[in-house]
Amino acid sequence: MKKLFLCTCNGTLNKLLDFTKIGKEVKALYDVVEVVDNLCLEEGLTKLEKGLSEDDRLAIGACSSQIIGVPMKQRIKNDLVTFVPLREQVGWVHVEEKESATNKAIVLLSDASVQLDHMESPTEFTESVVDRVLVMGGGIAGLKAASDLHRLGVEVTLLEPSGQNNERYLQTSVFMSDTDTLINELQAIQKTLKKVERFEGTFGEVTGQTGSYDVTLNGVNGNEKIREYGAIIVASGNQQYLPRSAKKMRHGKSERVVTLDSLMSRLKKKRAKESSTILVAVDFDAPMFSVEGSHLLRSTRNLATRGYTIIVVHSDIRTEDENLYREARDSGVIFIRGKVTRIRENEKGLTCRIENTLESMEREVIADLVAIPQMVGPVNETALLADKLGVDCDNNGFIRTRYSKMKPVQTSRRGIFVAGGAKMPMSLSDAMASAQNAVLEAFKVVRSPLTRSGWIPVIDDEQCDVCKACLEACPNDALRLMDDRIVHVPAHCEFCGICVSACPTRAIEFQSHRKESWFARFEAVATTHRRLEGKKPFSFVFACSECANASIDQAGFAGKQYGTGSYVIQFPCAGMVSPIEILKGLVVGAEHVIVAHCPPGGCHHQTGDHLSELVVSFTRDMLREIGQDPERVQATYMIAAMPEKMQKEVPVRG
Amino acid sequence: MNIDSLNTSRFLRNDFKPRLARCELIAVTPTSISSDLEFRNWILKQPEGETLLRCYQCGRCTSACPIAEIDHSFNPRLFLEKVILADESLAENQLIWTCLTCEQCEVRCPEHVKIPQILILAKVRGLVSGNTPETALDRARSILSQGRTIQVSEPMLKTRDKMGLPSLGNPPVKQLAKALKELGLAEKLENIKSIYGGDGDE
Amino acid sequence: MGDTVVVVGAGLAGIQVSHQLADLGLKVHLVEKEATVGGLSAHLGKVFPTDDCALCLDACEELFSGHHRRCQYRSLLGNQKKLNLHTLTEIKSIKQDGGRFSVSLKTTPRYVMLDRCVVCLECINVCDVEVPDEMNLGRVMRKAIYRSIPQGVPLAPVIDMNSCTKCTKCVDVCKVGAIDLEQRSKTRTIKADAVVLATGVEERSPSILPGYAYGLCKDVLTQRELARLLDSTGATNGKVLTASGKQVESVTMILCAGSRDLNAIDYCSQACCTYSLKHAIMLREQGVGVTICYMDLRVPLHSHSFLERARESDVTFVRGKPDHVIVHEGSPVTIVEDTEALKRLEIESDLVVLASPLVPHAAEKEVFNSFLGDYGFAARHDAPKGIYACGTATGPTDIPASVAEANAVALEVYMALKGGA
Ligand code: SF4
Ligand code: SF4
Ligand code: SF4
Ligand code: SF4
Ligand code: SF4
Ligand code: SF4
Ligand code: SF4
Repeated sequence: MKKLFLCTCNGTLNKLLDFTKIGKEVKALYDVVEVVDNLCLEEGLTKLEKGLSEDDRLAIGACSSQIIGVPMKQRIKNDLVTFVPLREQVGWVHVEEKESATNKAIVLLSDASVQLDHMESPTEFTESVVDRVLVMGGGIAGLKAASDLHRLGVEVTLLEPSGQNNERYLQTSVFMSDTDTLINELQAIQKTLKKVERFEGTFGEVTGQTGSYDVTLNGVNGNEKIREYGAIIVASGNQQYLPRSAKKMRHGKSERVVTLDSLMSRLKKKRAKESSTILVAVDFDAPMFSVEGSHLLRSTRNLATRGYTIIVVHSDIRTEDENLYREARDSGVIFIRGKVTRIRENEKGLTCRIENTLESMEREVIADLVAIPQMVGPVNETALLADKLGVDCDNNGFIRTRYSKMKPVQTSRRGIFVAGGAKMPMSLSDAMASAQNAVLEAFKVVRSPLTRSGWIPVIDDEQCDVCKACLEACPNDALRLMDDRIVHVPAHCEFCGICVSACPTRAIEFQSHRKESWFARFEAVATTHRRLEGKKPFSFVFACSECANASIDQAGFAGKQYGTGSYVIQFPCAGMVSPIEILKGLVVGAEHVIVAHCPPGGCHHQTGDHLSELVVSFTRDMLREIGQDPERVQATYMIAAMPEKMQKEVPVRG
Repeated sequence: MNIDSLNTSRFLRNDFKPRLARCELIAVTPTSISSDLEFRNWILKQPEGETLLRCYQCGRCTSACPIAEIDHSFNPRLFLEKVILADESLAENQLIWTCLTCEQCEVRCPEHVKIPQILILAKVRGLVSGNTPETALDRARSILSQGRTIQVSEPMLKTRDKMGLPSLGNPPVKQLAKALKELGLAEKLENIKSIYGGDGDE
Repeated sequence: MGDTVVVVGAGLAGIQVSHQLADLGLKVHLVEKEATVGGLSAHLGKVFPTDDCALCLDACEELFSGHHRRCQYRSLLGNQKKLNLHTLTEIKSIKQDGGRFSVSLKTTPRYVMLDRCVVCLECINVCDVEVPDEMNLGRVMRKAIYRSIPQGVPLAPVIDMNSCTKCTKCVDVCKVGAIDLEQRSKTRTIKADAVVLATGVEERSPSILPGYAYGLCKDVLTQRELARLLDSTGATNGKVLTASGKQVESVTMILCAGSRDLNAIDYCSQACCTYSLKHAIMLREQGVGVTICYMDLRVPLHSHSFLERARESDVTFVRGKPDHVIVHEGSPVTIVEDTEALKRLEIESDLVVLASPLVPHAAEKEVFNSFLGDYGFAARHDAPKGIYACGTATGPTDIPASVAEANAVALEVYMALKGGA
């Protein structure tokens, strides 16, 4: 049976909306319509439970699904449930227009009824996982990750490049901390690795999925083996690069021009013989990381305390420890804010010309040596490695994480994590924390079987041309080509439906969100709207179920009023919206179709924000070509922190 | 390893506005920084002189200074930069004598640099070579002859008495003269002439 | 070993570490002294590096397996079986006995029962008492029963007993009986096996570095206060107005206003450069002129786009630390030397905004003193004392670093309690 439960929300919603009218209007659409006082409280939930049998289809007209959804689903077993946010998206935002608001509620409840007709049970699946992790090392974070996993009782293989030893580790981590701390940490970790399987070499093919990746390991001595891993941690570490300005500083041309690190190791603990002047030329145009800044300050302080005259020519000094900067100055390092413009060599040394911005004049100094601080970048092999693993890099060549604010180690591919300097240059303590993050995530993957449930994309092999558009569009590597067929890998799928909009032949349909269901729903909205509101124009807002929907909920909480003629249709991801849905929206009579997605770069499924913009601009082009007003279709982002978006971006109607 | 092998945006910063464009170069020929940094080192050795090291050129002193407010060429931050870079031309710059030693800058300096003290040290360096305004020399001579920078008159003493202030006593002129003579300063003071002439200072 | 952890402070780091620990199967008590969670970030609206909501959380595994992130209001914080959230609760003492801790808590009344309130907001509508809303610089009014920010979690309102007249109008209107005006403070003691300080930072009042006319002129604000003006749920709908209600046309920002300064706070507060830039861009989008006075722009690379966007949108940068702000005909005038032009400037603007230093919350409370080190920050793991800390409690930093540290500490605690250490 199809049942509708309306909640009065402590007797307020039935004041904001005319429940009697609603009941009358939707009576024909549902087998049962029941009004409950407080659905989210124990008494409400009990009442709901009592009024339901397991195979009922259920519509809830109450607060936002985001608030009531999970608690309710913990209570009732029914899968076929839809929520109509009568409070946040109707009652609270149309306070002054009770009649229109009531009509809007009726429209949305009619839509919900059609939606229920098309709803399928979510697909559930469980997959076993391999309790073993591969750490692709090279950086100090890799050692830490292997060590922690081992201590957690997870089987681990530490794959290291050939010839990797403590000295190499030290050399490539030199910028992370002071040398003593670094050596101590390194020795301490190495001790814990005695029983860890270490493999020297590289890797070849990586196939499989999170929970069970097959990796071909190529040993230095030609041995090759294929092993199965539940998760992979990439910790390939860093490499130092000469900045662009090095050439201009006569690096490679003059023996007196060296990198700061090579100078440090050359001078080891030596004291300056007589007053020797070292000019440290920081690349003016490349912004430094704060770890690079701290390393610069530590190195120069060290040299100055040993009696060298150190002049650092720099732009902004960045460091996470202001006291390092103080100590460097205290030890006598001379800082000049500006740029080295020219270096000439003669028998006396290097005559360096400096544009000193803080004096507005040029200075010349004769230096015995010029030292160039190196920049920290990813190891050279990172791009290749990323390519083999199928993960993305950022435009600095580091491995990109899913979401820079809160997904510190998750790469673009499930089950593969990045730790330490492969993500960005880090101080020693940050690199250790980063390794722990990767361990935590890998541990969560391998410790129990993967169980998920959700609506999934279904591929119709008959209609599929194997054009692979979906495969490329899927941001999660959840579609694969196998035996000339497109196969869905549910373990990777995020249920976004991006593949649906990518498919040119619509050979993919998303469960519960098939084309027919959209069409039927839009038509239901349009007819009901017309019946109740006559010729008043209306618009569709195709909102993603994450940020955009949250923004619309928050408009309610913040009391941002907007016009009643805007019907929000939730899509799992804005990336699922294709021109078909947009055009259908216009065809049924919507004045405007607004596609609302997550903030730029902030799509929960990685690419939906960008893709929906593309789809909209493509649709606008189409409209223009057929002589229609492209302005009727718009894309915008919405987030909870900007609850005014609904007010501002949706043309006021109704 | 060269970054050319790496196609990365951090290393390709076309979008960076050159900050130097804002700095109008004053001199055409660059001024050398002396390799022995003698002037700087001398200042560092004097009492409070080592506070110079802390200066990170924030410019707060200049925006705090009452003289800088009136005279835009008076710039304590810039003076310190010159000392940092061992540029002794500062000691010859008459401008530094304009400092009131009001310590406005010092109390505001985020790094506790003793700015007026350092300027005094720079003046001391100038003193010996005659980079001193005549009035300042007059005062020095007055110390030599009377032990004070200003004349103390009878009425002044009476007023002090009325106000219940303690007696000033007699300055140890003789010891002072002796000490200065030993340093060779007494003689210098007698012969020296300000390169700036007698007025136009302060 | 037992498996109970007390996490102090429900800012981003505290929530993150609690989520992770609960997902790993430990029992967590998350203690927050305010009525809503979020800490400093709750004031900020939008945050870097992603330029989206401050009130966003990583989705916990238990409820949202495979999901990305969730707004606080839909994160169902506290719905996790093993996570207990205690709001309006302070730590009275932390006693160590053997390897365990005895943590005593004091909960002050909210007067609204979280398990009854359905957040219908009717009580707020009927309340007659109006007082200035401190969350919005006192520029608008709020009721005695109120919610400080729309997105705040828990969503239920709270009563400010100092202004409540006990008229019982709200009690009458609340038919679910969620309001109890006679609610009392409660104390309880929790036996814990680990304690994590995630006490966070707050903006230090600019009074520690006088001279910038803060308090003297109402148009001298801190960056946090500016964030409240820029927040579209704030007093002015996101429009930046002066205290007298005039549209702001120019803003001068003073960075390191008290940080990197031996007269105030020695260290660099790390995050202020970037959020100042973020605000500068938001102001430029409204057509407001912005001048930023800085010493060094310390922007982490993940947020470099903010610096680039600020440059592109014609923010004026002046390298120099202003000494003082004078008030001229009611408007603030910033006195600064442009050290790159050797010029002393007097910058007139409608608003001066100070990047005030971020100082540790924990340092204010005596109970934490013995766990704190330099400047009042705690170590990530203080082995002898058995205390963990994460987020800004260990030093000022940005959100990505806080989150990463919280995860790392979660693993450390797990390994310490469940073996593997
Ligand atoms: S595009 Fe989205 S829905 Fe489609 S397979 Fe990939 S993750 Fe799943
Ligand atoms: S996009 Fe459509 S037609 Fe192309 S391969 Fe995928 S399912 Fe087949
Ligand atoms: S205020 Fe202090 S630190 Fe700043 S420029 Fe002046 S002397 Fe240097
Ligand atoms: S002591 Fe001299 S430099 Fe300092 S503020 Fe006073 S006049 Fe200016
Ligand atoms: S970015 Fe904002 S709207 Fe999106 S999930 Fe996070 S809090 Fe919610
Ligand atoms: S306390 Fe009562 S009246 Fe107030 S919001 Fe909660 S349920 Fe509604
Ligand atoms: S982050 Fe920037 S503004 Fe904040 S204290 Fe550091 S340098 Fe100053």
